[in-house]
Amino acid sequence: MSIIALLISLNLPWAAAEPSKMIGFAALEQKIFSRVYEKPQGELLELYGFIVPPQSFSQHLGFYDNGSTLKNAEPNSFNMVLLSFLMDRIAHNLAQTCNPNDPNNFPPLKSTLQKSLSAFCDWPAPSSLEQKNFDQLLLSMTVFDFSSKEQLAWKQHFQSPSQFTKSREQIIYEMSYSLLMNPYFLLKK
Amino acid sequence: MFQKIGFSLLFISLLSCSPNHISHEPHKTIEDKTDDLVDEGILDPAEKEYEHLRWAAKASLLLRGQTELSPDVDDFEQLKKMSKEEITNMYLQGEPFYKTVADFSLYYIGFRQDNLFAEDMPTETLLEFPQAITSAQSLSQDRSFFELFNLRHGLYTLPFDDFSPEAFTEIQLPPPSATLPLSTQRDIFYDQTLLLFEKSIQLSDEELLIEYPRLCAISMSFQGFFTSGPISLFRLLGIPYLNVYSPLKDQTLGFIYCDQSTTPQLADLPFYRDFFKSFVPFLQSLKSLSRDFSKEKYQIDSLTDLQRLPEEIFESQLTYQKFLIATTLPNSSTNRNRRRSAYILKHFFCDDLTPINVEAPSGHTDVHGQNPSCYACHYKLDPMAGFFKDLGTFFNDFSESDTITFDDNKTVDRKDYQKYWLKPNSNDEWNIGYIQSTQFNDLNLYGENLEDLHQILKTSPEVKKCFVKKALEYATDTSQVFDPGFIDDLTKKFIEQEQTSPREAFKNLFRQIALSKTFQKNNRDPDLCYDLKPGAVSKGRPPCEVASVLEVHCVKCHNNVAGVSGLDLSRWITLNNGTMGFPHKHNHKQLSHEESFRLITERLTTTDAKKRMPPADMNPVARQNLYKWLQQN
Repeated sequence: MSIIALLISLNLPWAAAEPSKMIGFAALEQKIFSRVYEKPQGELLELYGFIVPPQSFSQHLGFYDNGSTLKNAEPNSFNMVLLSFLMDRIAHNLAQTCNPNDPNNFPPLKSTLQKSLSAFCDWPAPSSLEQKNFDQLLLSMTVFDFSSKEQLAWKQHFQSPSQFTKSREQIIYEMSYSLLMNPYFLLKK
Repeated sequence: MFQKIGFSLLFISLLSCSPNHISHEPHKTIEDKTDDLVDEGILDPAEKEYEHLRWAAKASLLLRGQTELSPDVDDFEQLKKMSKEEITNMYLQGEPFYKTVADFSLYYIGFRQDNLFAEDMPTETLLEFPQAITSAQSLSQDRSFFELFNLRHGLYTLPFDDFSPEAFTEIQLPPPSATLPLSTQRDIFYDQTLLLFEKSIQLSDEELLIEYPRLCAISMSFQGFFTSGPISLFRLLGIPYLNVYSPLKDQTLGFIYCDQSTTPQLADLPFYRDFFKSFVPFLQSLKSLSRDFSKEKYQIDSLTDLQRLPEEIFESQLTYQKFLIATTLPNSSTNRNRRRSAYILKHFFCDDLTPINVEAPSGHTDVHGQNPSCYACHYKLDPMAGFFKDLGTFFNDFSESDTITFDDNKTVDRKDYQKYWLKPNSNDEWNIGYIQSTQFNDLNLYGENLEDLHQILKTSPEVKKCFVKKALEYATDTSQVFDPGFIDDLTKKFIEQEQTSPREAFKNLFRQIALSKTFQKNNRDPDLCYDLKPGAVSKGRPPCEVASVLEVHCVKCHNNVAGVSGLDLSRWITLNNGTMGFPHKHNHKQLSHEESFRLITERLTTTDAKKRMPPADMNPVARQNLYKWLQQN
């Protein structure tokens, strides 16, 4: 539950004044394929198709449809469920970075992110706790989406001793999920 | 495997960002808040450096067509050393800026779309909006961005895919040697097919009956019928369907169905002969297009490399934007183009037609429009609708026809219909134009047709002001308020610079937006103006949404409670009951906020020209905005 406390404690004070719309599905997809995965050729059914068809994703997570207003981009319980399923799945996949032989249907990871995540493979050894590893992961995943204070709070949370009992898979999962589901990642700037 | 997260708590975290949770204090000025342009607090050098890059990332999205900063591509160390002005200039010099122009073009005309680009390359979605490509290319050549409004423009295409020899099998022709280059095989395909249809023109009736099943089968393949499974002929030919094949097919072939399994009647043969004949120009066009737009000859690396399809082939498709207007803004026999007129006023003049009964009915509209409450809109709406007077169903031009047919399939006498836009007691003088006032004719811009409207849109200062407002909204958010004085200042600079270099004027506008306090601010409050007109001091100034308008139109007289009407519209003070309002005295006593606003609204909206304020005419959009602000506060 610590990750929930982190997300709530981090986001509320600053995010309350953010414009309340999400960036929309196309922009989210662009983020994922510029920061997380190499863009596969053809349809992206493998990534999304397990819940609902991709078209429904775009319709529920914000889209432009011959109008100048982003539709369906306000966070609500339904689109948050869709997002959480999607991000949970991606975070689980990222958590397997240190086990490259595990079979999965995901596209290859971006090399920068792969390198950033690999730094945590010997968690919680001192080498994995170095500041630069956290900075590098933040940069690869969020590319300045976060405020400097949000970054600091995120780092303090994952550098606290209570995290050292977790496995490398669990810590990578939690770090990834908390970045992917963060309002600074999902909402319009 | 892992501890599952309680999503309901996450929902609370994100849902708390809904507008209902944002506290909107009325009448804030920037000095009520921290002047710090980052989130809050004092930043240490490392945080400042980070926030500098954070702005650079945000500016990259704005000025490089949604391109993200990337540690793999961008030199962060270099960016840290550069000033914001230098970063902005670097972004503006790059080719991706024209992606921004195309994306903004669509936002501006109200048809924003996802996925206009894949990597840096235009997608087929963008090709459906050729006016956006036209405006971006025009600007890249230092010509006017406002070519966007030109309803006549060309179509664009991506490079054609390679020819697939399976096309021979598809239409039952023997394939040539597979060792020949694909381009040669493609030319052989077109030559053989053309020969078949050219010969059919010479055939006697008896010979045509014999050839009919084969010609019919081939023609249906080209039409998209009887194809082998999911593969359509156009794919085998490598021709983009939406932007090339389909419009050419519709233009050249029409919609004819033939059945190869039945023998046609002799009486029907001339009909089929004409149909087969129409394949000759169709195939000739495909052949030349396939050569000119093949990957070998036509390589594009960016938006500005896109080339137009030849006008002589796509002549009837040139007004492609008509499709957009026709499908989204149909015109019935009773609507008289008012929907199209409202679209033009809203998108290009930022006039949402808020009804204020300030204009006395006169000859600018019909019986319905003469009703004072209806006239509030119709005096502008109807003359603007007249620009579309020749256009009927599906935006087709009926100017050469005696009748005109509408989207509800009604047909009427064209001249009778168009009398609606004639000036009273005139047979040839039109009451068509952009009407700002029924009393001050020199404020109005008149014309007759769409070309005139295009000229008005290209040159009107009101359109430029609306354009600047839309650019600010595009860069920030539609809900963000801006000081109209700030917009006026940007507009003035834009108009001046546009005379010498449209491209630099446009870039300079986006440069100023990227460097504006509004854009730089993170976690913006949509009700707060972060940029004021030059020289304005926010302390004691009326709320920014209206302060500049009041300064231009009202403050010359109403600047002191000892003066006219005891009203001072230059200041904004705390009243006795703690609410905010203008200094406004009656019999030496300060009026309440409500009473003061009621009296101001009354004078702003009366139809009595002797009582109406301001006495000199005021742009209807400015009046509407002031009226809406008075109503909301």
